[in-house]
Amino acid sequence: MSEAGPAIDPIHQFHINPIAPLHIFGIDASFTNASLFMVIVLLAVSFVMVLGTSGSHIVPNRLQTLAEMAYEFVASTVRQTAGDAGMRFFPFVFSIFMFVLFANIIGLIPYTFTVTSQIIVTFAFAAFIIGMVLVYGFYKNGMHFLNLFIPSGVSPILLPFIVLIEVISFASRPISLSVRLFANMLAGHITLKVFGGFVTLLLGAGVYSLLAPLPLIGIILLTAFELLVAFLQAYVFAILTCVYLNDAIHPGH
Amino acid sequence: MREGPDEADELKARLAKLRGDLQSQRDGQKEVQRAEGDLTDKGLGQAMSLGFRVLSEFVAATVVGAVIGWQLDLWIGTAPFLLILFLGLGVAAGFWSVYRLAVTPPGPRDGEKPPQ
Repeated sequence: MSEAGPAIDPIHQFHINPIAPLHIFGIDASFTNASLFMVIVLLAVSFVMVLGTSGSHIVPNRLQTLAEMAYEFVASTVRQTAGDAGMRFFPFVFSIFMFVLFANIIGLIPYTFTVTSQIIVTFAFAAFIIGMVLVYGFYKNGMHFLNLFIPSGVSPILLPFIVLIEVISFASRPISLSVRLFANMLAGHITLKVFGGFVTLLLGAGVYSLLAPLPLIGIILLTAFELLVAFLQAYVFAILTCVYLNDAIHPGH
Repeated sequence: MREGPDEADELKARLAKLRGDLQSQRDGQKEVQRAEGDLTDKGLGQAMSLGFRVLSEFVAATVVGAVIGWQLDLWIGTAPFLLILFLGLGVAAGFWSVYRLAVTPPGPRDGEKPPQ
């Protein structure tokens, strides 16, 4: 994870470097390393799903098991959270889950770029999800969708405050959704890099180089932990998408 | 011929005993699984994800409330009163989200009729 440089810079791994500069009408639409890894993630997901579902053996091989496990996992999550009516959003939730999961896991490989550690990527996802909740909620329920902001059984004196609080709570959803994923990935990768920096610094510190294996052990443990976080954050992102879509399908508390 | 009903009764009793034993065995296994489940990675992971959710919901609601108040202040020119008001409302919204998270497990509300 550490590159040879004059200084150990834990932020360097998040720099976006254009690979093929492209400017359309003054908008910087260059093909960057972030775009490259998005394409890689997309190809990896497509590879697993297309090859995994092409065989349909009765005794599944490895890829087919993986594809079937992913399907079952997301399908049960959607069904438990948003009910059977939520299954029409299954393709959307599945795509989001697989993209975030593969982006997180591919980002753990040294010298790769973590797409989900860019807040603009996660915020674009979150804004799209909330936009879809709004559009579908109004399309499906009309003005009744606004019942989402009016809890039942509240005294009329308190109602304006409660509605205001509910609106703020709703407006904070895209922020919390995007910041959680982004912050987890960013913090994990910076921690790994800083521990890597400890190893190199200790190795060059005379007697103290005897301590150098300690942060290395830390890195091993942290990598295992990051693998758990990578999966968990993709799962949380998917389940919260379902929770918010459930609000659009069944508004009103 | 005389032993017929006795044998049938004995068989029934043995079957009932077997059923009870199997049931208690199954219950015991379930208990053990539940006790172990809290300590495995899955239990830890779910607890951690819930913790992160509580934290981020609360912080996001507070920040959003403060930003709304700040922008309204800039727009109307009543600094700093709306900022203070909306910061308080944001904190309340944060507590409200956390409360809802703790009270109702996320799930389909199919029991209720969706409004038409």
